[in-house]
Amino acid sequence: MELKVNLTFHNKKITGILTILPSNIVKFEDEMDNYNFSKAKSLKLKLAMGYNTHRIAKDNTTVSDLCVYGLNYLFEKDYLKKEDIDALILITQSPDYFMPPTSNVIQGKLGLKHDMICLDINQGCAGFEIGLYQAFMLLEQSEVNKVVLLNADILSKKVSKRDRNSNPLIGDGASITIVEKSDKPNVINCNIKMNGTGYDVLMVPAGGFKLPSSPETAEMKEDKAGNFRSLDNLVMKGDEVFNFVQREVPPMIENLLKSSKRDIEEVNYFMFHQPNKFMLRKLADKMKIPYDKMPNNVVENYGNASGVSIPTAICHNISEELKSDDMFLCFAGFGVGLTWASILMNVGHLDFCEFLEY
Amino acid sequence: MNNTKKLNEVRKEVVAILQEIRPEFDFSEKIDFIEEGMLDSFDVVTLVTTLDEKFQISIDGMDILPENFATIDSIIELLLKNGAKSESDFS
Amino acid sequence: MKDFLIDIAELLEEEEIKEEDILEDFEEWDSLTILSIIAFSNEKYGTALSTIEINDSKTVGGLKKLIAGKM
Repeated sequence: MELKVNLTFHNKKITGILTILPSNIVKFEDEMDNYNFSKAKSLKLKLAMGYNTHRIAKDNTTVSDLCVYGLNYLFEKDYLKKEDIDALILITQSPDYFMPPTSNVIQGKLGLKHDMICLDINQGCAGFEIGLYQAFMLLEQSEVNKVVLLNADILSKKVSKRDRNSNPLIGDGASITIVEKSDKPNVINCNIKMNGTGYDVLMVPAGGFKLPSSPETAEMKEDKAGNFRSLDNLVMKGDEVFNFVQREVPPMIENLLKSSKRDIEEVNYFMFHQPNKFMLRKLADKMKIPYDKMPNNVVENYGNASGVSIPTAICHNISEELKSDDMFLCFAGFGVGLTWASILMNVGHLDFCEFLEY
Repeated sequence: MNNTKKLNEVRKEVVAILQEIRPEFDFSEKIDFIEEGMLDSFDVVTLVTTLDEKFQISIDGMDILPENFATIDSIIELLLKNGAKSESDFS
Repeated sequence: MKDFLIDIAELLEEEEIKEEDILEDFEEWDSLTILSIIAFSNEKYGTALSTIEINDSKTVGGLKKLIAGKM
């Protein structure tokens, strides 16, 4: 079955990536006693899943804090000028408020111009791809020349510390990706897919309007596997996510390559969303991609901060190459929604590609 | 499956690996490991990782379903399906 | 590696084998046999073997060398 490449863009480029990480490092060993893993099991899982250290934001840190900090850094370094920002897209599932949009809050804190677009998008694992195609669409407009894509999440606040399915892997962070027009053709192909029947595979049940937060929703309950979480906490059906990724991602990439008339060998790196090491290795095995072309080392170093995981993987693994050379990259995100999305594009000669500690 | 020496050799190895993962259970019994709660999804991850290492194979992600890890024989089926191939298998 | 020929003969369900014997000529040579050799080698010699390596060793003697080299 042919999948349609549903979006194609030309003359667009990424010019810089900054990943902002909370400097607070939490070690898996220090949290081990919260879960009911035996010590022996923990070590094996540590290697298989990629538990090690993750970055957790302090309690009073919000997504707008991380983004404002990062943007101010870019202004100071003269990597970005305030007046050049025509659009601010924020992809988050942990906004500062229900209203107003957090992108407005950021715009206000930075004193940006009024003639601009601010947009909050509720997306997670596929957030980098979703944000990118939004940026590309805006750049089709003659008045929009520079888009700042923000991916940011502090989902550790929503994960129960006694949930061994999710807590060891979660991370917090933010990233800033500058997207602009290009005078080179730079064909970009994207494939976006949705399946809302899987809405409950990854969710926070309470706190929205369907089930408002209450003392009842805050009660910690034990599940079959011995994890404790409340309805206010993130819940993930790990087995279903795993099978979904195995089933859907390889054909999506295969078809994206075919429709783009490109060969898998031409891709320099597969920068995929980073849920855990095991899942990514199995995915690489299935697609017959060597591990060094599909990095899987973000969770063990920083944790999985949702849509930020791809910018993190980029900054950790290929920052020097992206600054000096041009690479043909395949991005793919998969998870909450269910959403899965992929992009094939050239990225290179970046003005900046680095980490910033918050 | 019959009880040839070679089958028992493989069975021994698989039981040994399982015992290391969950020493508190007896995997030599003929019961459903998943239903009896002897293996959870994290144990399966550990088991797959160990089997991949020891047998130098890569168990297909699509085969990582609870029913494939319910008994020793089903695990051996997985190993056969995902790994060891002899030239004669293709003739 | 004493008893090597005896142990492998048992797995191959043969009375007796020699180092020159070609592995894939044995009647019982199939994927389960290969698995059992991997399991056996893990247990007795603490070495991890792959199917490809086993097939490439071609003979009983080649298999012995393969395992010895990993010990």
